[in-house]
Amino acid sequence: MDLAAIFAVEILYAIASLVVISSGLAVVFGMMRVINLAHGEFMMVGGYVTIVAVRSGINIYIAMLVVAPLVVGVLGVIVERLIIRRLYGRLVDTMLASWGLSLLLIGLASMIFGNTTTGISPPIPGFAIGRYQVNGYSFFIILAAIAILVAMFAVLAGTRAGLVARGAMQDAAMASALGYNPERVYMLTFFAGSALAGLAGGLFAPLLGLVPTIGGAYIAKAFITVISGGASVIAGLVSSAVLFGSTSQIFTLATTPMVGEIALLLIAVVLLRLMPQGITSRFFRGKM
Amino acid sequence: MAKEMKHAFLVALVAAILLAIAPALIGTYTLTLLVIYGILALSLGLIWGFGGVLCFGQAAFFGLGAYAYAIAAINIGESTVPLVLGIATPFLFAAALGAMMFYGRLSDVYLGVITLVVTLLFFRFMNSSAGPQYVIGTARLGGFNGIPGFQTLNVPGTPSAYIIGDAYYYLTASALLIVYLLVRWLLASPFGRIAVAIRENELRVELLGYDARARKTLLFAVGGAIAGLAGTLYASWAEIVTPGLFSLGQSAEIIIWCIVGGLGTLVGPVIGAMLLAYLKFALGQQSVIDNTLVLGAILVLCVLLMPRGVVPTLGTVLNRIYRRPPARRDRPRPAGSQTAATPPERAHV
Amino acid sequence: MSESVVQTRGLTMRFGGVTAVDAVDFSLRRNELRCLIGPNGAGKSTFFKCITGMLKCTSGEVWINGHETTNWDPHQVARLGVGIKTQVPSVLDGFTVRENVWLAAHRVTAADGVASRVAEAMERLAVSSLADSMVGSLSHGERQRVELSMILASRPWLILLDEPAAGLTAAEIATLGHIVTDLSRDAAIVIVEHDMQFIRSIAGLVTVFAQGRILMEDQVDKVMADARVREVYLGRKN
Repeated sequence: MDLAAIFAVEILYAIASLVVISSGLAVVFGMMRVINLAHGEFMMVGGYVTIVAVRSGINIYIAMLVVAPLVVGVLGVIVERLIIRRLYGRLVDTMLASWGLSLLLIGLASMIFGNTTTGISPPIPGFAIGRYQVNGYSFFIILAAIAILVAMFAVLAGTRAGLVARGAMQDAAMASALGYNPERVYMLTFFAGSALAGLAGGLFAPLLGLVPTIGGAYIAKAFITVISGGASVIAGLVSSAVLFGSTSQIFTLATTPMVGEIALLLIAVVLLRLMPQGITSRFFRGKM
Repeated sequence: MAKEMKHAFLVALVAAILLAIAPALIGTYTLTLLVIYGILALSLGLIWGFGGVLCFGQAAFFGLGAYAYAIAAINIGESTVPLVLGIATPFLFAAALGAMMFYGRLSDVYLGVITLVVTLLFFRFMNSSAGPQYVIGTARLGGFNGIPGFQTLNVPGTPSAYIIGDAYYYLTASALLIVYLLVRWLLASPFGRIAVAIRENELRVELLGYDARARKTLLFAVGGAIAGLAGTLYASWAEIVTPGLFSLGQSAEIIIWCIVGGLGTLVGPVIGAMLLAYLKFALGQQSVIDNTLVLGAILVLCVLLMPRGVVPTLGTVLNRIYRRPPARRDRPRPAGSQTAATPPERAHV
Repeated sequence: MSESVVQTRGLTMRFGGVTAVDAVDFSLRRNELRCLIGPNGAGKSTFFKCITGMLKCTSGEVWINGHETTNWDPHQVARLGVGIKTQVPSVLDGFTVRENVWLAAHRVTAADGVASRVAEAMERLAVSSLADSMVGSLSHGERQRVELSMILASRPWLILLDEPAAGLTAAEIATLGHIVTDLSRDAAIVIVEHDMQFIRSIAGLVTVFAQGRILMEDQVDKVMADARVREVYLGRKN
């Protein structure tokens, strides 16, 4: 019974981490058809911002929930203005430029922070379920994932801004004819996506030791989760996170984390091969 | 066709002279690596620049060639069969992967995802293969530490006659020239022309009765074989193979070489690879600026400012200065296209 | 398969809830020249794409020259000796005219005969003077002729043309009429077309599509005089 509970928590946690890691990329890809390969490095920056803020005396929750998203969001706006804006409609070029950006950020981080691992300890202690020890912070990540999904849904479905954003993504000309500036919509969307990446980086900062190259560990998973998602930003994100999170965690529990990861990647390959149509439909729909 | 091959031989001759005098400036040990990277860049330059297939995982074939060679060399000893396996394994693997992707009619983005994921799979697997159960014949995969201590290339039939030092440099340099000429010949052949035509307009070529999927698969496999050759030569140069060969950073570098060097040419990617690899080597000697940062900045700037690559852009500039302007500059781009993936012009360089 | 070289039985194509082609039975005789007309959305282009393999039909059968080609790929259909021209000129912009035509001739001709075949195909479509120009630099009409020249060079016995007159000037349409008549001497031709002037100029049998079905099949003049046809056209357009 205890073991089953542990398993359930572990699987939920795996799904939640994928949601947290991928949400920023999903917003940017789903709404703007831009694949930001520097997404992992945005998370890395969010992590460093959190650690620096905590060390300079800021409360850890404020550091990861407010400071990191804001700083990375602003970084995202700068990147959008300087690079992404010039490449709209050129999917492959955007991927390449953001890949360059990711290398640039890794280099920058190694120059500033060095190639050593830094970290902070989780603010929530572990506790026991029966004979087993559970990481209390896992629950926090699960809650955060739920909060992110609810917030995304609320913004897209319930606010004027969300409606305009969806409209501009479907038909930029129409939106500008109605008096909305698509450039601003893109900029704000990219801000939101980057801020989500910063938030994710902050949330994971206490869990993993931080090194400048840590983005590589995130980007592949986020990339796969987002691309394999269905035709809509939120439903797609949730469905592929559930599929990948649960299978990889089941394999991890049954064997080793490495097998779990390999299982995730293999499923992604098979999925993309079997359902290229279901996935490409994403390009033609601007639903949530 | 004869004209193009004459041109190719001329290029090869100039390159041979340059490669022969290069040891006067740079040590042959470093030069050998630059030449190997040149071959690797040529493999992606072929399938991306001429086939229009952007592979995010060219490192997978490079690493696969290196591992295949190392494993076979430990099991066999003499290096001739391992060399063949180092080329054949990635060729067959690329053929299988390519068939899966092209017959599935995946578009470029998904092609990118799949090749990237496959590279990661190799990376993860090799990293996790430290245990004693991961053995092929007598070769242990060795996990993170890789496989050291295998037979390096020798004169065929004489395992004790190692090809090392200057001799190894001249061997790799000859390999580069031969591969270049073979690829030029392939591109000048009907197969090559049709491959480029498929990049230009796949539907039209299909409507003329050619099977684009089979042809793309074959071209992809040839690219894999060339990357495998580079991997084999690398293994013998480094005397160790590690999972780092499959890293995303390695894949990124190959793409950067091609972008900087210019797509739609063969010489461009080779020059791009050699220059940037040397730059990385030189930057590695100092500690003020991180070389990842420099590579990243170069990639961003190239995509933004010179999407056709440095070498073709310079060529255009020179053309404008010295000759009549080229026939056509601004062909309209297909909607939603990938500028970098479909270079506007073919150059017979 | 008697004397029909193209035959469809119950050919149906649905997109989601919309039935674009609805159980069409169609048949074409050897060396026949046939025009498919109909208002926008009548399903004629979809029907065309199902025959060429560019779309996979929902149900029904397609037979070409005794082969069941239902859901074949375009290159397999082409290999039967079928020349296909798509609605938007599909040519290789980065290649010269000669290279474009070479590509078509290469597959069906022995190496030593390619050059003369290419020259002949360019000559018949009057693009010889443009042989070494990049196709991307040519006008729309010239590109249409290059594409037809490619089709000719591939030696088809069946030619399928989707809106060949679209975007051409009146003079170019007149020339096209001669070209089609010329081509029809050694091949069966199916033309999907809007331009009634053009259809009159090449005569032949006309099949009228409306709402995914064949409304009628007859000589051009009878079709034009038919009340139902007028109704479909006028009812839709105005």
